[in-house]
Amino acid sequence: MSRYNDGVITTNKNCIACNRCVASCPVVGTNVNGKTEGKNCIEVSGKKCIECGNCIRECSHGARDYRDDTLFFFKDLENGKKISVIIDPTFYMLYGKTAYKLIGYLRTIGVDKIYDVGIGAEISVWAHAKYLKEYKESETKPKAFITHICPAVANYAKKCNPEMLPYIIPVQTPAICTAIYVRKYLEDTNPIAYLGPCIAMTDETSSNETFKSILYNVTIAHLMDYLREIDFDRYYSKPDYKCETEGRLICSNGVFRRMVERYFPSTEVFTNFDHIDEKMIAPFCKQKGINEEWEQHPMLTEISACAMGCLMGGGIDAPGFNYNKVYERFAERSHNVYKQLEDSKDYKERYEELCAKFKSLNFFDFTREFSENYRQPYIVPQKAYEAIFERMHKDTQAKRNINCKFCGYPTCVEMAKAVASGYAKMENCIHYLNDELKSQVYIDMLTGLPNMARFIPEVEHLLSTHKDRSYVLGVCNINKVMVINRLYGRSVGDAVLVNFANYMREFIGDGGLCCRLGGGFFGFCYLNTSEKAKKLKETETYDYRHLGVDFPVTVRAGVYKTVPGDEVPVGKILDYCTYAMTKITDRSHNDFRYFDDAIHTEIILDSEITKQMKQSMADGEFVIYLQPQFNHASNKLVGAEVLSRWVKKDGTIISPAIFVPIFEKNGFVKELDRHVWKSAFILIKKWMDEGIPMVPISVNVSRMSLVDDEIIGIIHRFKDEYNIDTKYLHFEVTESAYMADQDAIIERVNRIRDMGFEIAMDDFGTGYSSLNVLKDMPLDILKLDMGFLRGDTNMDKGTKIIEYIIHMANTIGLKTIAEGVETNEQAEFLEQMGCDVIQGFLYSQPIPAAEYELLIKSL
Amino acid sequence: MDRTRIAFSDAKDTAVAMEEIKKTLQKDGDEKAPKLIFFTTDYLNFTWFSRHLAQAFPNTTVIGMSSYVVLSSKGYNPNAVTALAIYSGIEIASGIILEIDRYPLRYKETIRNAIDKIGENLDNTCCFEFTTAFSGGEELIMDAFKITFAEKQIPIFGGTAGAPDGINASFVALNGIVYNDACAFVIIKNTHGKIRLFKENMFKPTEHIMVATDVDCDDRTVYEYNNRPAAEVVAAALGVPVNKLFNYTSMHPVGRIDGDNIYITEHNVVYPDGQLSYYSRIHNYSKLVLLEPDDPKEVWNRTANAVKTKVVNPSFSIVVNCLSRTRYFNEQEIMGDFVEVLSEYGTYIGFSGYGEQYEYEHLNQTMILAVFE
Repeated sequence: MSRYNDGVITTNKNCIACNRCVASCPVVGTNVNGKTEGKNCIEVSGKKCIECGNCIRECSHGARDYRDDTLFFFKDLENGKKISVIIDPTFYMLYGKTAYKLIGYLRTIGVDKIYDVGIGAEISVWAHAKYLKEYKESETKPKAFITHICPAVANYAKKCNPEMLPYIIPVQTPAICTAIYVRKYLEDTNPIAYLGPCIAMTDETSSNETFKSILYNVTIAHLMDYLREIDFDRYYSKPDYKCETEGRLICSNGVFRRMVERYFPSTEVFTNFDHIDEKMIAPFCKQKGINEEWEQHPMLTEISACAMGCLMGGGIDAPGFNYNKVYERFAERSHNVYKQLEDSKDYKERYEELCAKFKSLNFFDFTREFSENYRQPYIVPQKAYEAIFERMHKDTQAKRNINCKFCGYPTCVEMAKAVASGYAKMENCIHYLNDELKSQVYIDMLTGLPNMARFIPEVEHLLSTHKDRSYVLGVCNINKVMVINRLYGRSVGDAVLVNFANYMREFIGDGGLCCRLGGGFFGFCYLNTSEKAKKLKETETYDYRHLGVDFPVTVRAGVYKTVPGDEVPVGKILDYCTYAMTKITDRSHNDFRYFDDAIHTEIILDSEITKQMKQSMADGEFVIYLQPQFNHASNKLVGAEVLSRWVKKDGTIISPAIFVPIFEKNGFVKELDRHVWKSAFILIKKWMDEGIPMVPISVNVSRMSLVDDEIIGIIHRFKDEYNIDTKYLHFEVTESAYMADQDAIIERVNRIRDMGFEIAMDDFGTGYSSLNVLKDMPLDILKLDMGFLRGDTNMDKGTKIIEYIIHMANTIGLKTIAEGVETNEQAEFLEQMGCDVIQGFLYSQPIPAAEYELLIKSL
Repeated sequence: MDRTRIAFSDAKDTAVAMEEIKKTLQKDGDEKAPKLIFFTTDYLNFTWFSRHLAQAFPNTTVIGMSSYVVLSSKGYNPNAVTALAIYSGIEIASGIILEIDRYPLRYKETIRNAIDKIGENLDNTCCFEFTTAFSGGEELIMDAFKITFAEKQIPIFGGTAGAPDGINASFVALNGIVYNDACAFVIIKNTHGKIRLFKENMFKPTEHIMVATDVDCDDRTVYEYNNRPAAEVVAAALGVPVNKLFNYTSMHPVGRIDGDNIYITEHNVVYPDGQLSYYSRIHNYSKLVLLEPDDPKEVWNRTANAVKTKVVNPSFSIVVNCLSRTRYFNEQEIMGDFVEVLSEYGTYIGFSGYGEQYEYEHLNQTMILAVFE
């Protein structure tokens, strides 16, 4: 698979990384989260695995395999090799009479001699007892007390807990004792196979410490699987050396201890553990002087890695395990064995009998050394924990102590340690996943930056915890993002955003915050320092040619500097920054604009106007004024322009120069237009009804009113409602309104004209005029702005231009009105040029409707 | 009598060199033996000098490591021997730690005994250690000291031994016994004042920050940065193809970020499958910054100024300068300039090997400096 799965126990492709193996494993770092073919899985580190088989028992997905020598065993038998087999008592407990049928079959395929491991169990008991009775403790070598019957326990000590090793009684396991006895004392020279439930025996058999007494570790599960097609009923045989005494019971946890106990006074303490638990074992293994709490330990402690002992070994055929049957067999045999053992002898006499039984054996044939291959675990530094906890959103002590064990680790700290060491992934923690999901709500998926919902509270927290500092907050926008999307495609546009986001992260640094507000808008906050201020000004443009963008990309930003103790809410500050940003019109280079008092005043005014406008409209504070228009030659009144004025109740007049731009921004200008038109219709209707001699009046049409067809409906309704003679009402459309969506606007203006109203183009010459507009627009009147004649420079040019515009207008049948005429010279000139009508302060400023009415009544 | 003496010899004949050393350290027929001798020499002659120094000074603690280049205030040479003898103003205790590649903590008693010998008052005390190279156990040694020192938190200062290019072995020695797989340490209490420690990085951060997302701590390997193959990420940051990355890694190590501190970790091997191994350990989810060379002379001056500011009355110094730095200075022909800057630190002995240990961190491509008041 990959860099793990290099030991006896391995993971296969059934693994779904459910973490149960992690939870069941006594050794941290054995089960390592990884990925195989893109799929999450948990692999086994052969370096750390003690081969206890807990993970195999725990795994409900059949995702753990292990290697043993079953295939080699059968292959060598097929090749004619004579092999002797030693059989663990577990085998008989699991299969009862079927065990003998199987033995019968094995003989037919070449197995030579068969022995019960119960024999070796009794030898091992004798050797353990002899050691305990005769070993003299020394300063440097303490007296051991832990049984050596479980290879996985020895592996645990060797790999994980070397301080335990001196306390494991240096005697071979029952299986190895059997093999040594068979070889040396029964002079069986055949290679020996061990048939049993133990996976850890695979490494044990190849170890020099067992003198390689056993050549094949054949586990019961693999054997039964290999022979699954065989009908055993035809076969039957018993072992050559059968154990009928207590040794046949050692497959159950506690029996070995009980066997040794018989040779010691009842005042001695004997214990047994049925699993490996460092917390239980550690106290016993503290050397004197290091941990004064424990200076004593039991006479003997039996430890097996498997609960219930070897009966639940990792190498059993778990699906075939029938607990009731096994218990029945164990109970029956136990009863028979202990009935035989009932006696009135004391422990000394029993020990003498035991020694007599094994007097021909050399004790040292059954002893061993333990080599150690422990590697000290690394200390994970506190900063590594902090980094991981931070990433996992475990920002409180409570979150760091949930200890739910779902990840397989007993505590959150253990999990963090495993993550730091590369054994575990953060994604194993459901609380992290939960919090991460929640945090995704606050993250912009494209750039990975926080969104505004997260940015604002974070900035608020930053400012509130550093009240003595000045920060810079800002909103910036990448110019022409839509152009980039259109020209190069959305993926390039996105790449620009991502690159810019990365730039922002680095620019802001660790002490600041930034976010993506949406589109090409970003927010930022950083400590106000001169270096940052310098850096802000340094970059003129951004080069994204490597992304495929051919032109320099620029950004504009509105920026606000907080002062220590600033109480302005962050949301409001961002609004201010956005407002300041909109003041920047030059997009050719990066630019930023500080939010200052002038902008602040503007915002306040904006806000006040917007707050009052609707109510003022309802209260009738918007009134119409009219500015008369005259024929200069005849000095006759020939028309008027309708203008709006805001006359507040207290008599204050707010100039349209103030409120009209605000209404155009907030859209209220449409309401104003409607109000002015209605007022004009009403006036004309009144004059018509009263028989007052009239001249046409013109009303303005804002850009906003022309964006949809609603204007047609409104004017139509007014026309029908007031039934005026349309020749008395003109509509003025500003030149710049024609710049956008010309076709639709032309169509709308045409429809207004079709209703009978004349159309004037207002402010001709104020912007960048397009003569195409004159060609295509349905117009009757051209209103000229006197800008051409203002100023001290280029006056000759200006007069020439006016001259030719008027001539052109006359040629194409347009009437001309000159607006903003202030001097007689201007008026004279215009008249000479053929301009029909003059409007301006020369004749009259805008006057209230009542005053205008008096004027036309006097005509 | 001088508190310290520094002896240096680049005589080709080791016997001649030894005589020169003895003559300097036993000047004027003075019978008072030094309390401690730090020494270093090249790999080939290390065993010989270890034994002879111990014989010549039987009542002195003699500790040293083999070096890529021998540095001292009396001269420098890849093939030389130098010894710094300290006669007074210190209390010392020493020891040896074995099994450094897997279980140095087993020798915590040795460390504890050394601390006990110094006594209760551990002010102005520092543990100096030398570790043989190629064990991969420097971090384990640091952990062993950290656990054993516990709340005492004696500062650690030391180096991994050096050897010439192509030799995969190195030595440390204590009192004449030479080890090729051990850590020799001496705990020193300066009774004349403080022991100030300094670190010098000749690299500066680039803009490229990476987070390790798949590591093997035991093997000092990073498989992924930012959830992508490690080599790809580093190569992309440097703007080079992955198959050419190995040409750039020596001058672009990574720095482990710890607040304002950056601890340099040197690249080792670039593997075809994209994994990168290093000369020191990287934890998962540690934030690292790709480094680039700084101006060496500016860096040296900054260190020298820092030393001048913090140490008013220096007595002697111990320098550990990474082998990679020494190699680089030689290639750039600025080794002489470097040695000249070192001379600002007064009497000093300098070691050059495969790593540095400072504040319980194992570093690479760094110079560390201990200045005794």
